[in-house]
Amino acid sequence: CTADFEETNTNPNAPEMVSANLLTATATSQIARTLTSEGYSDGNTLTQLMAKNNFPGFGQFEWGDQGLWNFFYEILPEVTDILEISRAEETKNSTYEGIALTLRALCYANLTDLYANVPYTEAITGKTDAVFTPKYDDQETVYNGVLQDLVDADAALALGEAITGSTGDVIFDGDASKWRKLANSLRLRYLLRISKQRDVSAQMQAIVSAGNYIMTNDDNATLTFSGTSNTDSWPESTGRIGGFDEKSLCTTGLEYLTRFNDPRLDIWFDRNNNGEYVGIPIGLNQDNARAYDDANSPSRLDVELFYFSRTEAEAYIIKSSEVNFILAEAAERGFISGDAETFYNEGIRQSMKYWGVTDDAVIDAYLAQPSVAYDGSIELLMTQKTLALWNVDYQGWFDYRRTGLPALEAGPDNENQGLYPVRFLYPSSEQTLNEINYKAAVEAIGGDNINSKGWWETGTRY
Amino acid sequence: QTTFTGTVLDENQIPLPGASLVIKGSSTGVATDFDGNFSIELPQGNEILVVSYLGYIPSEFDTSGKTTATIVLQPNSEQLGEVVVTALGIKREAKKLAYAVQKVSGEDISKAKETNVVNSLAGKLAGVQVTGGNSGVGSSSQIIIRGESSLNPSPNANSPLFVVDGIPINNSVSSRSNEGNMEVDYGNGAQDINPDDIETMNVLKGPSATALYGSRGANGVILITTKSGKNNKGIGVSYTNNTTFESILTFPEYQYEYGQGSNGQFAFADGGQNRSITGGVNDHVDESWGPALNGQLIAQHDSPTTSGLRAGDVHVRPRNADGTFSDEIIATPFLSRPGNIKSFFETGHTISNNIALTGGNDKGNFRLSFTDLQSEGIVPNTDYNRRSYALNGSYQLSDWLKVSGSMNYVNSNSGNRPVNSYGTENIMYLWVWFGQHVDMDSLRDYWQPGLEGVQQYNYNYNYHDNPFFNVYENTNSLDKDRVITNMRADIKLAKGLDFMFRTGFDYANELNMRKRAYSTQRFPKGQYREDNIYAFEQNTDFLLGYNTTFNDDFDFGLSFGGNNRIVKNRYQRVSANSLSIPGIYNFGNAAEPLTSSDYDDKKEINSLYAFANFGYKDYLFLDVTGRNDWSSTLPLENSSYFYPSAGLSLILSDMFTFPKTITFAKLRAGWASVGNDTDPYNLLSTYGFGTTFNGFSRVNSPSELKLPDLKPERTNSFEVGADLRLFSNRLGLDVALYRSETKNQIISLPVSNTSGYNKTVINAGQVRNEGLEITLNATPIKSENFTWNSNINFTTNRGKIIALADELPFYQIKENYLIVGAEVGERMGDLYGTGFVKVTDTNSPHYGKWIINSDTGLPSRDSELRNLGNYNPDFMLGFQNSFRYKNLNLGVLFDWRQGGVYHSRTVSIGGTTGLLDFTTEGRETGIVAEGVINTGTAENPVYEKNTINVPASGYYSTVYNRSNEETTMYDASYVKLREVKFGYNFPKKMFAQTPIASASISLVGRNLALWTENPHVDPETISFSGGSVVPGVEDMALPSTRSYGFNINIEF
Repeated sequence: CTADFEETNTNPNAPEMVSANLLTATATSQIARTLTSEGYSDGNTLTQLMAKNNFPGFGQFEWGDQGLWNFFYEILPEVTDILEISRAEETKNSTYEGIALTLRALCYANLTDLYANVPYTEAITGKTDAVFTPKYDDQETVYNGVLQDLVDADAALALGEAITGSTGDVIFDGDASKWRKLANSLRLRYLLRISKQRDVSAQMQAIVSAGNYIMTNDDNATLTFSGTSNTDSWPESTGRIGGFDEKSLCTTGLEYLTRFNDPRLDIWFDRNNNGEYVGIPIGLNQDNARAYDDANSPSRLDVELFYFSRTEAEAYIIKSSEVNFILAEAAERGFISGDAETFYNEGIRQSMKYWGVTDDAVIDAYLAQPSVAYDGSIELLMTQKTLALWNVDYQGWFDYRRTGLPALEAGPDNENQGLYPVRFLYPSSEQTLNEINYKAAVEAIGGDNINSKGWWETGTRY
Repeated sequence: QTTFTGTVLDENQIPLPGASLVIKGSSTGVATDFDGNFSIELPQGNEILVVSYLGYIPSEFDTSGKTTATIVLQPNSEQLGEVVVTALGIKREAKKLAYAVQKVSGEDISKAKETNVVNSLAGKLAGVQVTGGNSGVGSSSQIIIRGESSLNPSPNANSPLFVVDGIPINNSVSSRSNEGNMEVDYGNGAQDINPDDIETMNVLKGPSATALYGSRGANGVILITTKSGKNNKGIGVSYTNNTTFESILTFPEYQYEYGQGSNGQFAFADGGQNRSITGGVNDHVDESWGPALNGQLIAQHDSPTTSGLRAGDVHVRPRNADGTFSDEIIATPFLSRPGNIKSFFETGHTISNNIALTGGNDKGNFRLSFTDLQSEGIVPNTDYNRRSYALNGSYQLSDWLKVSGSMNYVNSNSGNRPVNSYGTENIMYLWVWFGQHVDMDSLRDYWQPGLEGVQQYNYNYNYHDNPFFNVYENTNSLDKDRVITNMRADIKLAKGLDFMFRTGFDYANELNMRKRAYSTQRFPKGQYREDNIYAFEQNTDFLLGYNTTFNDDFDFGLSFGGNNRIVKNRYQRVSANSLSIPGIYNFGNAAEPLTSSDYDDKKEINSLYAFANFGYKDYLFLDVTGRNDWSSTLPLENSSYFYPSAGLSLILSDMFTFPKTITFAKLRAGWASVGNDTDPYNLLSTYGFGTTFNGFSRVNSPSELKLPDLKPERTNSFEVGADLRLFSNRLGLDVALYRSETKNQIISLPVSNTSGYNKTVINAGQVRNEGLEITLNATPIKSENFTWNSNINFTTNRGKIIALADELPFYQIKENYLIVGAEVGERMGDLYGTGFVKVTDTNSPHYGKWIINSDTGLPSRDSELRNLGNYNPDFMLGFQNSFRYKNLNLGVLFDWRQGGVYHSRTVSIGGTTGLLDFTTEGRETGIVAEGVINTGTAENPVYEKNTINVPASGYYSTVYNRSNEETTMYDASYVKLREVKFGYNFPKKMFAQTPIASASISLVGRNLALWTENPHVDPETISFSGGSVVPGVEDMALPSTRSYGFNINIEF
């Protein structure tokens, strides 16, 4: 009665095993695309470079489930599979191993930065250990792992093993040396992030001395969209024009950009119908935002760059401008040797060049302005860095949470008692699917609310 | 040869229509007409007629020396004659059964006809819950027998098995979203069955009734017997026309006092098409917090411009170099238009014509039937059409061999099916976000001049599609071919020893095409998509039966059979998500790489079974069955599973002498254990294909962890019942009490995605259903000219979760805004969602009130999930009355469902947007939210009544906020006037000189009235999410409809 049952029940539609390149294409494309589209709308809103004139709930801090938890935990299986394949005897490849470790570090660092305690040591072990309700680890534990992954990635990528055939890597097409620079740049980002808690100077200095990090735009971890379909296009270009029109220049961002007489204002934003740049405050409620919008006509984002073109705007993980600002702050705080001003100027220069201001004389003139010229102030440094972090996921918000700079205030109709939020809420699915661990984590972080601070921002070293 | 005529009457001298008269010793016979009259040719002259009628003692009548007679039959107090169809199509006497079987006759469902035959069962049967879909004619209908026992979210997991003439058929629901499309309800499989071809539907309720069907019978079985030419001599022709009209039964109560806008402000410039250049005052907004509709002059989308165009023709109006318009809008009155939205809808209609030919002789019979059904929905340009061709026949080839077969071909098609759920593709979404100043007629001309086929015209370009554009240009077609066939041979091997062999299949091929025009919100450059669905199921079975009587006291039957079942499904979806040339729907016209998805699956089940029945003195009956299945979907070592059943029935009224008032009394008890397998490929996880990215192929890691050592599911059930009939059958009472437990359920358990999976297949869970069914039949009046029959059926069922997996306290069955969750110790069907922060101290006089945020004057949402009630009813009651006065008859059916809750998204969104009637309160004055403010501390609260006045828009958009479901939970109780039939049978003598044998006409109505709590929507609603049916959520449902019309039947 069961003669051919085994054959009948063999799935003809989908494979049980795949090669690393197919998974790498999924992981690299989705991570870069998602981080940038999050940065574009919500990251820029939290740093107040942008605000919404319609449906402004996010800027009022009326937060529910934010999607990134699900995004990262649902891309981590691919990353984990690449790592497993890259370490298996018959498919061993140190470059895929390094790529996977780098991506894993990136995912978990973002998770803990956004949510504080998160499942880490027991996460993604349903397959190997049948753990379906992973415990949450504290932020320090996650950071230890993230930094170790990046050290391991650096070692693996240093071997420079080639990938034969299609790499699936939409960022560097399998170039191990560029991935190595990315891994080390991320290490610099995360070492600085925990520097209120730990002395990170030796590790940062070692990376700087070795020199394998992203120094110029040529090494940026960017993804250029090919625009053949909605999937591989700049995300906003495939949305509603009405949705695009809901995003406006924020009054705070306008103040930075006019203070610096900044050419990026004209690159990122359009003038309104009166030919002016006008901002809208963050945190107005729906009625007030609409009334303000009707009365003032705030500037929208550059429609040619961010809506009409499927390919002009890029996605990225980290760029040379950010790395230089990291080093500028590290130098200023004495974590590394070197001149903070040089790194600061280079950060600005790299950002300007990235955005198309290629004339060095123009940049020099910009740098020479009293409002821009470096004066050793962390506030100025962080303000410039915030601009350079345009569209870079939530890095500007994380810097604000660590340094309090540049100062940000909640908007008039905020729903958080005037406090500036410091974390996302856990998704409600964890309440039903991982209840015990969820409750323990809520207890540990002092409540599942948007004001519970994480480990690195409560350090006291500065 | 002589002609013998006469009349057959019952003991009260009332004619018995359809009584059978057979010449003794032959198979020649006739049936009486509506007036009990008959006419039969007697070949020899003096013969004996055997006269029989269900429920009456057969009588023999000697015709010797007579040419006419009035024959009176006496009722059979034991109801010996009542024969019902049971598992495997075996006809049994009802009295011998140890379980409840309820029968619905074809006449019951074909008069007040439902296009979806499942709907016609609503309210007629105890233990059966029918929920109609809300996509108009052609929608899916969900049927649940004795409660949901499965934790599996599949829309088919709790569906009973449908069997047509012995062949199991597919009743799956298809509604697929993906590719940026929303779900379209393409109907459930059983709706392809043509009501005109149904002779009877027998509903087998518990596993004891269905044990022989194996796993698939665990949720009950609906056995459909199609009409045949049996009992017909010569050629019979019947013609039936059924014409009904559908109009709106429930419709949201919109406000017509305030127009589009925000803060009371509105002026149209470009409908939000390009705000930064062409401005406008809240014309990008799609809510109705705008100015009062007082006839004041305001620029609107349909206001003329100085260039002679409509203001909304924004793509063709003349522009200056900087992109601003060079023409001016001439403001027009801002008017209230009561009934505006309703005017979009039309009166639907369904016209069904059936013609059937029957014929037969003493060797065989046949029936040929053709039905054409055409309907148009209340939504413009939506329809559903069905053509059914049915042929069946049987022939007695020799004394020992009889062959029979049937072939049904059904084509169902639609040019456009309405879209479900929340989003721009559903027109009901377009009304809860709307501008109430918009004159519906202004939108009928939906292209911008010169841009026909390229750019729609609308009042709002920010979020919405023009509703007429939506229904006329963006279509979701259906074209489904289905063949259900069977062939059967019955062989008499020896006296008492019979062999049956049967094979048949159900084949369906369905093509759904979705077309989206240029300028559609979701597809600015159009879309063309095809879904191809192929389903095939073949069943081949045999049965060897032996029956004997030892002496007058014992009878005994033993049968042995087997079944081979092969199921194949294929699905393919291809989509071009942008088009090069507008209006050409062909994959060659794709402007970007095609996306596609497909799967192919197969499973096979082999079964062997045996059953035995023993009878003692015709009052004690024992049935025993056993079945073993081998399923390809389970691991080889677990692929075989056995399940037994046993049933006992006692006719007390025959065992003992009862008072004369008690005509019949029976007790019954049954027990069964049934196993179940799973879907194909549930043992090993696989990777999924993604779309290419920058030319790189992509795959996704498995999101579901499969279980290599799955075990079969198991349902154990126990049932006891009693059947009591009094006063010569004038009063009948049937009671059934049951308990069934399903354990080891094969479920795809949602798990925390932090584990690396979203779901994991497990064997776990135990669900217990307990219920009571009562059927009461009464004939309070029965006289020659007037009869009144009354039937009440009552059902109550409680499904309880006894256990889930180890240490698993909660299981999320499915989700559509609300989570349908299973918690150990709680009921099946519990709904979880969020609500506002409330006073939780039960000692406080303010207990249960909202705690108002003193900064905003509004309640605040609590993100913690709370139990918001259960979607299952406390009880259901169907109340059916039929009256007959001479040739007139009247039937009235009320369907009462008590208890249960549901979430109404229509009210939630329509409250937020200021579109529903209740949002006018406080527009001018502001509103103070009902609730208290904590003036103390969090630890020691002091509550004082809230006095903060807030603007109406802020109040309603917070209170009805869609992420807070508690505000819009409603009592799902309702009473529906389900069915009214008023018929007239024309007197036979009218047609004496014509070939017409009989004729009747009925006026029919369905769902004529509804009484319920929420005035905006019909509580009988199901939503779709992820291809699954989610009860307890009304999600932008189309208005429910009432239908009324007539039915004409002529027999030749």
